Amino acid sequence: MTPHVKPLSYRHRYWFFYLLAGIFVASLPFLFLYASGYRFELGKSGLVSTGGLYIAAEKTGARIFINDELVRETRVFRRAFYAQGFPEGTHKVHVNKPGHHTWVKELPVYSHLVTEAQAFNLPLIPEVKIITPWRTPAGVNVVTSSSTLQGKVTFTNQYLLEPRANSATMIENSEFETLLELFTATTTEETNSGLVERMRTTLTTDATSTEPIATTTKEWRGVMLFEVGDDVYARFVGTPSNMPYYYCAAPFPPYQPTATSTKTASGVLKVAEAMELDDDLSLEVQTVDNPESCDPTIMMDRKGEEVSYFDFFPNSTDLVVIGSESGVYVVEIDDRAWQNRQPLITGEDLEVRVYNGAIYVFDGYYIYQIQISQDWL
Amino acid sequence: MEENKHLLPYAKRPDFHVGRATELSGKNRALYRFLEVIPGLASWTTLIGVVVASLYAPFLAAYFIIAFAIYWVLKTAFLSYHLRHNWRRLRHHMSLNWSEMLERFQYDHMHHIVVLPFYNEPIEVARSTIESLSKVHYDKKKISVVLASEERAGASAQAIAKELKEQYVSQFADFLVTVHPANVPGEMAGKGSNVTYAVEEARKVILDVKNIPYENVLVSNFDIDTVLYPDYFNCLIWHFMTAENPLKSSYQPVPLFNNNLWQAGSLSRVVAMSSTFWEMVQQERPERMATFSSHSVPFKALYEVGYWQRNMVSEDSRIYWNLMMANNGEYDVIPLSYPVSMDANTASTLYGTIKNIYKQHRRWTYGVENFVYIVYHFTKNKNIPLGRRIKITLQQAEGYWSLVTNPIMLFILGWAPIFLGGRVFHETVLSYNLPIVVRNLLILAMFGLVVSAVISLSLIPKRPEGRSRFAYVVMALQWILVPITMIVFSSIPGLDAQTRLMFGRYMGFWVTPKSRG
Repeated sequence: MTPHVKPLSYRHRYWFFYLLAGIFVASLPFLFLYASGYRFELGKSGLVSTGGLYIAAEKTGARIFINDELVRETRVFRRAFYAQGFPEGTHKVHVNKPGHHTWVKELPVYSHLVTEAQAFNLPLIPEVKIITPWRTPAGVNVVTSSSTLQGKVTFTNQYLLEPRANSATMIENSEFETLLELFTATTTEETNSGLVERMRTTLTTDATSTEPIATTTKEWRGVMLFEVGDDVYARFVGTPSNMPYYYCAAPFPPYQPTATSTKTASGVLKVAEAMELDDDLSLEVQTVDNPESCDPTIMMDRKGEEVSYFDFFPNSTDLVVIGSESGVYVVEIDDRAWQNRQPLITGEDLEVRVYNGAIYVFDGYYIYQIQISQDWL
Repeated sequence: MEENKHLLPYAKRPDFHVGRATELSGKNRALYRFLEVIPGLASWTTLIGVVVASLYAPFLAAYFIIAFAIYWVLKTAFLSYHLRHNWRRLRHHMSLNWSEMLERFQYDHMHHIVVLPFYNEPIEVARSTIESLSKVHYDKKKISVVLASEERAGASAQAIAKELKEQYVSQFADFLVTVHPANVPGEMAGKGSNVTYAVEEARKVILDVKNIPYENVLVSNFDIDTVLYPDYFNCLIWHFMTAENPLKSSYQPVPLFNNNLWQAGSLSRVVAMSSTFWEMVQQERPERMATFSSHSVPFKALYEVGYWQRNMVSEDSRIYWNLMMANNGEYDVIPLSYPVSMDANTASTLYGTIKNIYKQHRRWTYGVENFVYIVYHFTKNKNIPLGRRIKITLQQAEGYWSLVTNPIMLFILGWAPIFLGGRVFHETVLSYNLPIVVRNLLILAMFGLVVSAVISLSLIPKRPEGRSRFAYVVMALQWILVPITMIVFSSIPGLDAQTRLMFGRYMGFWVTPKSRG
């Protein structure tokens, strides 16, 4: 009598071992090719090279479309979308969210590379906190005439309309007094001679030869904003290896929906369309640019308007706040295809300042602090 | 020379029981020292190599990591296959009527010496072990118990030994209490020196006095927390009687670290069960097996090599390599696929538990000193076929290397190319796909954990009164801790042990505290 459950025999064990070894050998090239961006297309050209798109958006509620197809609705922990298997060519990406401006961009996709983009969606009606020169003893802001922004914004704090307010019944608002100094200062220009000199030496000939160099310069986390003539420029001056992808982007042809292949939400390449790529749209094989060899200077799109103020959007080196004749705008530095420009607040004769991580607008009467959601970034 | 005449020829070599390089001289010392450096050097070179490759050759590193992740999945499948089969076999062996199976054999002549080395463990731990011994389905008059105490443990340990002897002496053929002297020159304080002293005492006091032939004696060296299942000795004798070379084989049960599983925390349970599972896997591939923890050995075989080594930490596995070398490779380990229950390592606080488990596993992984011993003696003992020497060397090297490097590479360094690969690598599809591919492969490997969870639930002791059934859910879900336990209680202590050996900072024996809450 012996136990009928025998130990595993050598034969069984070695058979299983060789089976697994076979799976290893067979799966290795498949996974290597897949991970590198190759896809197999049955009956067509066989192995094709593809690239990817990485789109970061708002943390919640934004919908990301690639070539007009919804691919992701963002959640708190899923705010970005990586899609792969795209044939090289230009693809259209748009990101929208109810009650917010839509971000649209055409982006090139190169074989074996991933094109990144950071979307932003500002609210159609911004929320602001009004700060008035006077307030009641209870601390309520008092306005003596209607705000010039009435109807354009949503106020987040209470205020009292009191046309006959006077100093006998009201008290001065110290917060207003403090912030007013931001707007009454003679200049916000930085006159750091070192920065100016650095800018002088690093600007390209084309950008500087005919224009005087201004002294208004902002620098934060390796990005410098400066004004030359009427134009505002962003220049990356940080460690080259940390330079964002868009500073050295090469030109690429525009998106043509009829000829560009799409990728379905399920991740399956639409082969038929992919194979109908127009020759004009096909891109040369792109290698990652050496950051040392390109000129990392981008001119901000001011839509022909005179710029009265510019600064970094709080906590961002990708977005710039620009004050101009028709209002205050946020413009992305990324100039691939075009720069998305979304109004933060519209209205004439508005002055804007970025201070201590907040954006303040002054209409000559009151100061407004624009409520910034961290979801935007 | 007279005192060595019982030793096998190879065991008479002065370097047979070498424990470390400093015990040798000349070229042998240089060779042994070189071999002590090899495991740590290999592990550190691998880990640093992955970091350096991620910096300077990120594409190569990424492909290597993907290949490694596939290897890991397949290795998990391979081990799970062995584990599942051994689980079947274990359950089958536990259901068998071994007494009935032994009816065809004549084994009355066989005698058992059970050595229980103890230091300062609580009396209830030792008592439960001896109590289980007294309840085995075997003629207790064929069993001599040797309670091996330590002089350095003081009077309290002697009092415990005395009390236990008085309580159980009538139930066994003999109940011998030995007191291993402290500070014996050339010895390391630890289990090896204690059991060697105890078994030699038993030979003189029991075997020689009763004229019991040495070839009729099986010695079971049990840790003091080893609780026996009723048919252990029947199972052992059956395997002894049916073995091809019974006197040239050691017998290894499956150590189930489950005595106190209901008192232990999740961390402790996962680590304990993982150790059990590893031994279960090894039971299905005995050619890679060495004895571990509680095990049984023919006395004659022990006597021919001078018992367990007294100058090193991992005496439980070293005795197998001693026997294998002395018998010119003609020595085996026979897996019993029958359990003995032992304690999961736990303490009264989480920090204490973590500290104890870490120290215990560092001691276990210091078993890498056996690799040095094996390779050293493979260069000396040419009677062992070259092919076998090479095969064992590679198997052992892979074992100690993978123990330390695999979890770290997979769960930590797998992401290194993404962070260190630089801009050129970062913008590639490969960079983006690396974490996705590795993550998906690891999820696939997690199915191995499902197997582990199912098996572990079948091996836990009966639920005590007052404990909720919900605890079973926790015991199933606790396996998600495995990636952490593999790094914290396998890789890091293993690397610690190998590094100590590499720099000649030799470890001493650390006694795992035992307690029953």
